Amino acid sequence: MEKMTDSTNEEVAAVSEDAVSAKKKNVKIDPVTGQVVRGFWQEELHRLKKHRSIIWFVLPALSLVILFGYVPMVGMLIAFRSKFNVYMGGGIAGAWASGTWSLENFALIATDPRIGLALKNTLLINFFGLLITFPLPIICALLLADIKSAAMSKFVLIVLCLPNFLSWTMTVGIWANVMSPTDGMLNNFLCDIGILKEPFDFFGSNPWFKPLVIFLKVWKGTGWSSIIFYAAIASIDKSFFEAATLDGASKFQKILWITLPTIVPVIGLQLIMTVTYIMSVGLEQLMAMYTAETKHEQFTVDTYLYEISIQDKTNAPLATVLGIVNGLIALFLMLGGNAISKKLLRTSLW
Amino acid sequence: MKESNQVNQLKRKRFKIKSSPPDIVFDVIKIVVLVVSIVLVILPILNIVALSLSNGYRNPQVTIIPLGFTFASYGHVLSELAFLQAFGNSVLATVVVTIASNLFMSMAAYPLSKSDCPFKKGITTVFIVTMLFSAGIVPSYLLMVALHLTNNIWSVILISINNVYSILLYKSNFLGIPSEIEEAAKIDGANSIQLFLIIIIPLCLPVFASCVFFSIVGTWNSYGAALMYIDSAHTSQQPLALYLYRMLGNTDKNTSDEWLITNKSNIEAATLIISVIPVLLVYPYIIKYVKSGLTLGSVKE
Repeated sequence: MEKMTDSTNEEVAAVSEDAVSAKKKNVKIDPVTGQVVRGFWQEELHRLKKHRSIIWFVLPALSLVILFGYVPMVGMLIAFRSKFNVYMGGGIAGAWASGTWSLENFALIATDPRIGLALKNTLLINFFGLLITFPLPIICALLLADIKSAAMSKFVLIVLCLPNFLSWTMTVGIWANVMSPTDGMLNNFLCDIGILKEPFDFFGSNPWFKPLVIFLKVWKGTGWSSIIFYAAIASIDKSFFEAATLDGASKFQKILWITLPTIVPVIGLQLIMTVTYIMSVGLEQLMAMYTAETKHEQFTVDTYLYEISIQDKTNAPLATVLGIVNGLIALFLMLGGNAISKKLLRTSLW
Repeated sequence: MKESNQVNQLKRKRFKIKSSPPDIVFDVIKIVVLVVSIVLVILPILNIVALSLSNGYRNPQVTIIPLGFTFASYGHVLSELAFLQAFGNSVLATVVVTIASNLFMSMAAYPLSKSDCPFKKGITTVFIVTMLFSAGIVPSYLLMVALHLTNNIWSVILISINNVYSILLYKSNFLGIPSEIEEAAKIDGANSIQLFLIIIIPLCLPVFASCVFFSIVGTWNSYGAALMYIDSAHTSQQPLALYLYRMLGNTDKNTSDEWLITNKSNIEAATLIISVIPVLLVYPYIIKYVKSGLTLGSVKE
């Protein structure tokens, strides 16, 4: 009670203070609420004054974001200059001056002979990757959530999450070693039990490359990705399960009718985030998996962009244009997915 | 007995429960799947540890027990200048990125967490747009050229400090701080910097801890930016992850040293093991703070 009167007193004091300062400055006061009426800029300025001691806190992050996020966006304009070559010397100014305004760089996308293969490989890996890497963490979380002992579930979690924190070079190094045709454990084992007649070079084999990319993604990411579903399952009200048990529901039925419907929003959000990266397989993984034998399988949008812009520096205009298109596709997938999830699931990414 | 059977039948009718596999099937699947996945994770790691401790054995193959136990590969790795330089670069990058990123991003999140922050919508949009859209490789590379930062470890450091996602994370955590605490601190005469460092950060320690650990692991492991900005002629500037990438990709055998040739895979294994030690040191803390709600679902206005 005392607290309430205290706070109302304070409010009254604040309002009257406002009113006094308002009278001095000839500012309008709302007759109903007794608060000062300000226009947009006046309001923002008032808030700026109020928070002047902390608003400068955003400046370091803001300047970094402007320098490394927005300045390159201005630099994107170079895609609209004809015949620019950024590697001729003279830096960006020289490249800028060498051409005129034109859209000819965008035509490169249609005429480039290798872009089809890059797109095909990227979409194939990501489509089948999605089919496999997306449901597995959900299944993993369902199994984890069913472990009764807390110590046991913690142990399983610690082991299964570990690969996510190993770098791609480490991951590829580990498996290239296990699958090595000369001294690998796997080949040794498969030859011993008679499945293979002679050692097989998994990392150097073209038909095995795409499955291997997906397998390494599963090995590295499944445990960690399951955490988010595991947390969602853990937050479900236990009484639902108890009631279902009393009604004689089996574990499969509980998963189908209680767990899965409850975590649908989480699944939806994760799906949106995954689909957003449909144009990218992951440069670090693919570069680490590079072998001379499989370079046509490894040839994706990521590696193509890297090759023509940084590694061999052969086609900067195409790389610039491709980068823009790539960014726009990701942007639209993200915005579209978010709009769908807002409508259907009532959850939003931000 | 009869009655209970009838009740059960009724229940089945009412809820249209179809017959489903019994729980024992689920339990068997669960145990088999989890045991197989644990073995799949642990076995390759034990294999590479064993290999790093072995002495040049190709045949018979090393499984999980070292053959010809020796630390010679580790000794060789630790005496290699390029490795030590790369290790030093990675330590520098990780320390600077972790401190700067978490300080700057949490600072930016603090005013944005106030409901009456000036230009709140505008500033938030400026941040989020960079999360949704990036200009691509070439313009970023040109910027680095213009800043004279190519082939310099600082290009990787500067570009890694930005992390809009952690701004959102910090912001949603600051929302939960009661304003009374801040007012009390102000009355006690704390200025805004003291308030932030002494009151806010300790109050949000779990989220700070998890963001710090993720910065450490992320910076230590990633080499995508380094691949863009540091070419193979400047090995003194490369971070450890890039060194590892180039080591694995390097297939030429231009060495006359017999020991180096027979122990090639052992040396590579030892390099990988040493490089993963900092991550393993941080890993227990990551697991500890996982439950502090580090999910995108929790990031909301």
